[in-house]
Formats: sequence, C-alpha cells, structure tokens
Amino acid sequence: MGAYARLEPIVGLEPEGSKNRPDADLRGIVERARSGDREAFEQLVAAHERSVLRTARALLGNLEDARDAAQEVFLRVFRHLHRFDPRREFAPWLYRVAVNVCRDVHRRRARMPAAPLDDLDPAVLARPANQETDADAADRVRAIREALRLLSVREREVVVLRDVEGFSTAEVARSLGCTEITVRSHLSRGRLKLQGALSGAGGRGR
Amino acid sequence: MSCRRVQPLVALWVGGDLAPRRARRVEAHIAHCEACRLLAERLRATRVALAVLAEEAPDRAALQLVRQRVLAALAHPPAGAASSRALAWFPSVAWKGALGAALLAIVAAALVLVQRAANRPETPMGTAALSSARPSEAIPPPTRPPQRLEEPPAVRQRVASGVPGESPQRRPRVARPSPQAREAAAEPFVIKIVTDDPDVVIYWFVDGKKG
Repeated sequence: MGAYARLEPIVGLEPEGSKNRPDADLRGIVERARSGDREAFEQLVAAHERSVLRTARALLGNLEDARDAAQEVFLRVFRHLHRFDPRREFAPWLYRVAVNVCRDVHRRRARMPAAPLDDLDPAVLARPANQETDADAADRVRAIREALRLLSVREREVVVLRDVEGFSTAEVARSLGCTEITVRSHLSRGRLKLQGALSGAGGRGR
Repeated sequence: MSCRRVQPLVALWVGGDLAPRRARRVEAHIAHCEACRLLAERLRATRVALAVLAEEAPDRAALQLVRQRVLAALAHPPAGAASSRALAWFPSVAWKGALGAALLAIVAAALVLVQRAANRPETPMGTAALSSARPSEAIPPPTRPPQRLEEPPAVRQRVASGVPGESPQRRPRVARPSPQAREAAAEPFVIKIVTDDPDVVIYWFVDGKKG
C-alpha cells in the first residue's frame, strides 16, 4: 500500500487510565465516602487529585487557577456526593464537576488571552521525543498548553478529556452533558486547530 | 470525497473515533491523496504531543496545597456555609419550607381578597361586618337616609365631612352605600361597624326597600 500503509489510527495511544477500568476498590471507597466516611473521602481525593489538577490546568491554562479549581472541585464533590448514582462510573461524574468548575472560572474571566507561539522553535515540536533534551520537553509541554488556548472552551474540554485523560467518546459526552455527535464535532475541529498551531500554520492546517 | 470533506474525518480517524465504514472511506482517500496523508501524520503527532501532558510529572507542591486546603475546608467549614454532610439534607428541607410558607402566604392573601370582595358590594363600609339580624323595630323609613344608631358624634362628623379624623385609632373607613347596593338589599339589614377602638362598635340598621 505504499508509505501511507504505516499510517494507522493510533488506537494504541488510547490513554486507558485507571479511571476507565472498573475498579472495585474505587467503588468501595466512593460508597463509603457517600455514607459520610471522611477517611474514604480523603482516599478519593488522593486517588483523583492529580488528574483533576492536570485537567484543570489544561482547561484553564495556568497552575494558580487550576489549584483553586481543583480545590473547589473536591469541595463540590463532598457536598454533592449524595447525589451520585453509585451504579454509574465515578470518573465521568467527577470530571463533569471539574468541567463545570472550570467553566465558572472562564465565566469570571472576561477573556482568556491567547499568547502567540512566535518564540517557540518549531524544530522542538518536530523533534522525536527520544532525542529531545529536558529543555526541549519543557518547551514542548508549554507549546501544547499555549496551543490549547487557541481552542474554544468546548473544543478544549473535548480534546483534553479524550486525548489527554483518555475517556471514550461516550464518557466525554456524559461528562459534558452532550451527545457523542457533538463530542466528535468538537473533537475534529479541536484536533485540526491544534495540529495547525503546533505545526506553525496557525490555523486549521492544510 | 473531496479533501475538504475528508479532513474533519481524518481528524477523527487518527484517534479511532470513526465507525468502520467511514474509516474505510477515509483510508481509501488517503491511499491516493498526499495532502490528506500529510495531514493525518500531523494529526497523529499532535495526539502524541497531547499525551505528553498526561505523562507530565505532577506539581507536588500544588497537589499538597490542594489537599491541605480541601481537608482544612472540610474540617472547618466557613460559618453559614452548608458544606458538611450533616447539612446535606438542607437544600431539600429549605425548599419544602419555603414552598410551604409561600403556599400559606398565597392562601392568606386569597382569603383576605375573598373577604374584601364579599364585603364590598354588600356593604359600602370597608370594615363593616354584615349581620342577618332584622329587628322589626327601629327600621327607618325607606326614603330617609340611613340612621346611625349609637354612633359617637366624632365619627358621625367625620362621615359627613369626609375628612380623615385626627385620631388614627378611631378612623373607620366609611362611605355611602351605592344605589346598586341599596337596590340589591331588598330586605332590611344591620351593618356592624367595628372600629379600631374595641370599646366603640357601631350598628347601622338599614331598610333596603326603596320608595
């Protein structure tokens, strides 16, 4: 089939984290936390604080806001955990809370300024990961964060939940309270915008 | 399929987000379109780059701070904030209480309105209570103006002049009965006027027959 034969959908890249696997331990912790067990809730925070902070940072663009948002997420979870249906997966519910908190932060901001990517060396982005230095890696992460800021809020939410956090399209739809068709639409536009920004085209690309 | 229509699908195809039939159409297009093949390569690199964010080492100081703040907020909820599980029932109870109070207020307001509406056409006096007593004696002639028995002079004077009294405690709202009301009242009846002063009660004997 020629050179393109090597091009396969990178399904293997699906970051199928622990959030996507049925986890009996996690269910037990959630159940105990729902019944008012403070220690179980602390375990719940410990189990999800990293991913919640990471998501908030990706959605909000800076660590300070992300820290405040993560704190608010867990406080809201604590207040409303009794509303959670234990027959469902906990992670999509948790991320729905996280997305809502981040949307509130966005509403408080007048506008999130999109920083230019002019000072980034395109070679850094093109360089294979195994050849890059620590500085290159830091630049790469920064470039991705900056590129995410070019997306609309909804596109960013979909791309972060699907491509960074590894939720399925159905789980993203549940987390955002929309249909899978809407998720795919935002996902497609978001990925095209991102590749345009990261490849230096500054738009949708070719 | 044109490149313009295929590109959004390519963006989904690189993540395995397309149904098999559409995926085959995209693959068929890429097989002979160099531009879309390059786009797919870039999109693939973009997804790899995004995965870097998930692998990034967490900011431990930030995580520590978040956990400390959360646990501190749970241990010492701010005054007035219903943030503890013990108060998790509060919203529903508050809503029910508010709903009950609102219903009570509506019922009370409706009762007042109904009472006023019932009094208005029958009795021209706002604070009068209509009695069905029909004393055979003391019925005034139909042509005469209504008699005010046992009415104190001060009240009578205010009725005649229409000027509000000096004393707000003794200021009954008095008005003359309308012709329609007098016609409606075919039988003699008694109007009891209750003033703000509990010691002063006015009985008004009215003969509703005309001519």
